[in-house]
Amino acid sequence: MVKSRRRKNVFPYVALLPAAVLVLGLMVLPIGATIWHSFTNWDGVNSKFIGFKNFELIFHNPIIYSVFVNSLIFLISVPLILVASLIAAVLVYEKVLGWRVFRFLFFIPMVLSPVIIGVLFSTFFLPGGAVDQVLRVFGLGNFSWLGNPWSARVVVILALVWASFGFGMVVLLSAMSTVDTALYDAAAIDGASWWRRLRSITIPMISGSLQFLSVINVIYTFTSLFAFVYVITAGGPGFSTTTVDYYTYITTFENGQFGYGAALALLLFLIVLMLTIAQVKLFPNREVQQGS
Amino acid sequence: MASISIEEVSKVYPNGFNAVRDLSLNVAEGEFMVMVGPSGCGKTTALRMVAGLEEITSGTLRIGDRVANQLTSKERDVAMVFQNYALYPHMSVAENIAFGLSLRKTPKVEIKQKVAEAAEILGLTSLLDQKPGLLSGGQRQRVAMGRAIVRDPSIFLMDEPLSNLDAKLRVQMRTEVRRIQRRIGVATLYVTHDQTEAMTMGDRVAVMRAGVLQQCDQPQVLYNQPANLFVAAFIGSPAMNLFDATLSEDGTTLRLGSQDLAMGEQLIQLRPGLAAYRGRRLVVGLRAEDLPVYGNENAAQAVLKAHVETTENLGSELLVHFSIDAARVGGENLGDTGELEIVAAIDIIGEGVARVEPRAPVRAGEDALFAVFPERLHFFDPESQIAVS
Amino acid sequence: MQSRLSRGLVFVVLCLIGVTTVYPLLFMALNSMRSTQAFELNPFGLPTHLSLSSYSALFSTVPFFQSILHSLFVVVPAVILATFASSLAAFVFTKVPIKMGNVLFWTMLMIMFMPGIVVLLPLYVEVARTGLSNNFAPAILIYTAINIPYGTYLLRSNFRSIPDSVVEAARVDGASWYKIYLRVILPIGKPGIITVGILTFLNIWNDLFISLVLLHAPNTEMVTPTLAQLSGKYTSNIPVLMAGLLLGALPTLILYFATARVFIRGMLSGAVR
Ligand SMILES: Nc1ncnc2c1ncn2[C@@H]1O[C@H](COP(=O)(O)OP(=O)(O)O)[C@@H](O)[C@H]1O
Ligand SMILES: [Mg+2]
Repeated sequence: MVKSRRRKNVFPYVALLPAAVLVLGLMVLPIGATIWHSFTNWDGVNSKFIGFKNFELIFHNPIIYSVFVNSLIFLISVPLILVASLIAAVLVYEKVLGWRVFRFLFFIPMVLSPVIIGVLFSTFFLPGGAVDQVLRVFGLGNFSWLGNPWSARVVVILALVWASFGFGMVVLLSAMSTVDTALYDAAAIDGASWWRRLRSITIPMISGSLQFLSVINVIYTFTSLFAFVYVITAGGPGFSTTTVDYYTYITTFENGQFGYGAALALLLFLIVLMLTIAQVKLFPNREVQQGS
Repeated sequence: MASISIEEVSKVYPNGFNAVRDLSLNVAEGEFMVMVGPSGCGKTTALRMVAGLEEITSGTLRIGDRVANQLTSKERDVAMVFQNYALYPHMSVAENIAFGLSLRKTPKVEIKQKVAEAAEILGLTSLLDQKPGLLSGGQRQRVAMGRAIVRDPSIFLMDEPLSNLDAKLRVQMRTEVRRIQRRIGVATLYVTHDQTEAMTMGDRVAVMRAGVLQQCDQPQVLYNQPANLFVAAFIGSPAMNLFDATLSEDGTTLRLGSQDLAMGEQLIQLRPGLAAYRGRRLVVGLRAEDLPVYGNENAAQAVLKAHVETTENLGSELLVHFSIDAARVGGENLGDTGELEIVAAIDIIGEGVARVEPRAPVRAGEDALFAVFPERLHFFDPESQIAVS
Repeated sequence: MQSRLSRGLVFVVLCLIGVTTVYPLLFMALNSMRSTQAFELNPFGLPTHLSLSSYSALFSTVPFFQSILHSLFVVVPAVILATFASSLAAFVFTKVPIKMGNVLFWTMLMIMFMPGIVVLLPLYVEVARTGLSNNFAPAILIYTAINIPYGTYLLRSNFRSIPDSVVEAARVDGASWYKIYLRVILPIGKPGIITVGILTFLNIWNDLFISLVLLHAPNTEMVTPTLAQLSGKYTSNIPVLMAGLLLGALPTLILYFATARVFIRGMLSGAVR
């Protein structure tokens, strides 16, 4: 038997190289460094191993608790985003006159930076701003929306919902497009009302996507509110709108406590991980698998 | 042009599944070899190993006189037609056909000429600028053929290329595919699960079951001398009638249920192997057309009496569905991939089919007599399932 | 929902939602052309005469035009690099049989869910230590890296819808893996790749966090930090602020308007999850 030479197929390794090098060097290594430095008193120059001291400090810091509670409060935005996305998706799916235009328009917030959205919302809610002027008509004006903890949170949540419902709508629309329309016809013949069809067909069929959106938005609320908070309230008044990720930013980059910041960042990751697992466990994916 | 030689080739998938076992098969230059077998028996796996799309676990594959185990598809110089055609959706028909040539840096003029030639052979000339998405199933099938023939490959592989076509077109394309293959004269390995297709198209037919080659021969030989029970049951339509029977001690009488069929001395003379089965059970096989209605023209020593259940008049012939009180050996279970106990699949009432002359005096609900000829019977060992000759 | 009345109702609600998404754009555009005094009298007023003074005020107080250029300078190469690297990786993960492919992919997915700050913290220190802060190169590479896992994830589900047999047909036709990528995967996957490219563009252009941390000197500042600073400086001068916001949003809006057909189709094809 003639033994033919076996040439190694190098293509896959060469093709993976750019992604692998960048992800390894600029993500995996830094993650490792963060884990290591969460056990040091790193200030950017000097670092000394101090065991679990950072974590102890974190758990003894009263501000951390209020900051964590803030992040939990902002979770109210998640069901709001889901409802807004669902309403938008279901209504667009009705395909009334101009539905493509509406779909196009509902995407617009998704294209804008949180910075722009944040600045816009804070402008609207400024004393003497648009909202104030409208309220004055009803004799309610001169309310400092951003000067009061609860109303400041409301403004951030509104901005967040407005920014996020477009993406949610797309995900739901894409899930709805895979639902067999024969199901709706059958239900209509059975005399099911519009509500009934929504509740008994649409929502169960897209429950997997709803779960996906919920997971994504919870993660987002915990890790990515930085830009909104930065431009709308800068965390205030007091610490009332400071989220975990924003607080981590301040301690790390403004106060230069890198070891402490690293511990906070890791804690943030653990929280997100637990919330994700909890959601996946709490809402078993009931989405009916269609097709192949 | 080259021959294909598969020597004791096996395939074990990474999950441990042994899809092809010690397959040995030769396809001569210009030969049209059909590999047939029920779904899941390893045909596609075998074909893909020849194509270079699947690694060969053990054994040797030669294309021409080169060992091809480690060669890429490109080096093997194979062409393949896929079951779902696998046309490039972003290319026109002409570009689809030309793709292989353009990869080989064939001069543009030559490509153009060859594509035109292939399109001419396949009747695609008017469709060259279309995208595959707009074509009908039959047209796509032709494009897939065109893509394969235009390259003048060394060998030609086809995986159920007709099974996505409607029945009429499928029959039409059988002759078409054979015509094209004769014209280019390349060794072809053609896979199908349809035994009619295999019998009508193949120079030779290889019957597979659960990864194991059962028999490989010319269609007539497979039909007349099936090597085992599986081939007997799989090849032919309607399927061969298979019954549980017992040979008498003296070897002259066959007991089928409650009936004794007198076969005479000639039975063992015709099939010396039967001598070992005196007084033992065996499986007897009768083709539907070998059961004419007993009468003057069909005088025979042995007569089988059966109850006629229904008849189907096909114009040129009459299919008679009958039942006797002998246990039938289940053919429908033969389709499974796993090892199976054929003789275990036994009914209490055995049903069978006879193909008789259309004006034969047979009526549903009545009994009928069929002539049985010893030389037309098939015998199989009930345990090993191997033909007794 | 068949009756004319209920369809009318759906239309009205859609219009209302539409107004909320369009009005902010109009608000920016209209008020950027009004004077500060006019705005304070009535934030809902229309411009009485075309006044571009806000724009000149914007350009004279912050290097706004430069910040747009800086953003482009970072975003364009990062988008190209990230989309290219992701498409190659997704191709290997879906169509090339390699050992450990799945392990690599799931590792990448895990990394995708890391909060950005976990990654950025040591990078910031390292960049500062090596004297590379306020340098575009590290920012480009970091943005690229951070967008690769998501891009790979999206393109993987996209390439999965290309039948394996088409790739196999190309192999039998004699194409190398490289040729298959170039001549089969790229053309067939084009809509998906464009969609992922646009998403990556939006991600990076709109990001505040990394740009704020890595590029904070005036001669490197990108547009989002500039806008964030502007809001601090100009909360009292809304028209100037609106001029800035509008110009800052313009590149992404133009990109969206120009590619909406492909982009929306790509997003709807289920590629986003
Ligand atoms: N990649 C694979 N891994 C494991 N088992 C496989 C794989 N591909 C096919 N098989 C199994 O191998 C057997 C033969 O498959 P195949 O060659 O496709 O059969 P056929 O083409 O004759 O229908 C089947 O039982 C199938 O389930
Ligand atoms: Mg097959």
